[in-house]
Amino acid sequence: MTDNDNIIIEQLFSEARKTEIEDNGFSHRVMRSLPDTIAPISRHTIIISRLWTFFCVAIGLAFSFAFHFWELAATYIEVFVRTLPTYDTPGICYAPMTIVMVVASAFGIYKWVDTGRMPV
Amino acid sequence: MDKLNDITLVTQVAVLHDKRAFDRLVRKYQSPVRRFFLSHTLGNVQLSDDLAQDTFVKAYVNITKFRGLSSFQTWLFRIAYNVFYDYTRTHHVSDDIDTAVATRPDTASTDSNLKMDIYDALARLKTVERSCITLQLIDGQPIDKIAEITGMPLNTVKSHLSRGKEKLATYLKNNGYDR
Repeated sequence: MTDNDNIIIEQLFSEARKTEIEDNGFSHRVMRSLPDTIAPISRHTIIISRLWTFFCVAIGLAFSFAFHFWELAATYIEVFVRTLPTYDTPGICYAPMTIVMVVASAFGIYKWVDTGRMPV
Repeated sequence: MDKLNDITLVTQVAVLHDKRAFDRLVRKYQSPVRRFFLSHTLGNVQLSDDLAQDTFVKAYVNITKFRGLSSFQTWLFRIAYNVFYDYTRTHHVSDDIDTAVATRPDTASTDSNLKMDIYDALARLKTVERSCITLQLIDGQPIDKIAEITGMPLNTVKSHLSRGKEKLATYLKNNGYDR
């Protein structure tokens, strides 16, 4: 193989490399042919996923204790609660925000329980 | 970033069974997958589309088996490679040059964007050589990814690439490409 050979081959294939094939309904045909079910997540993957979640939570808690996160959080919450009545925020209504947060959390938990799977 | 986006879409499909997320993956990768099959079937558009469709259906059904150790594209090409080899086994496709050229569809049914010269040249190669050459020269995959896709050792891939390129160079020179 000489350099010239490589140049010839490269020239021939360079155009093919740049060619983008138009979809022309291909994706639509694929989507229509998909089955309703997919292979379930294996037990092994679920166990690994749970172990990984447990590991991350453990690391998080360890750092929290190491850097006295609880004291810091307690101070912030205390300051926030004590100074809350002094805020003059007529544009903000806390009740709807609280309701939205509760509903969103409930929906998230429902979705998680409904699928019966851990996020991977 | 692109890899992260693919993993997000795959997670949506695997966990939430979100078909719209899979549709985005199909639209993104339909061109390289169909191009891969066009090179292997020497320009047979109908067969390429059937094999590409089979590839995406298999990817969808087995999407929970995607570990994210390689990119989604590499995983998809591995499925495409296996789909093609299953096809050659069940249909007893030969490496014989004369058979390959004779069974090639006429120009009207092939993708006009790809030059027939490429298919003529690729027809001179064995199927494994064609796979390696196609993955490197058309799909731009590095050698380690080709080894991952084909399941062959790195040195075997290098040998196939070297032999394939020698055959291509000889064919092209015999057909006046070096002038």
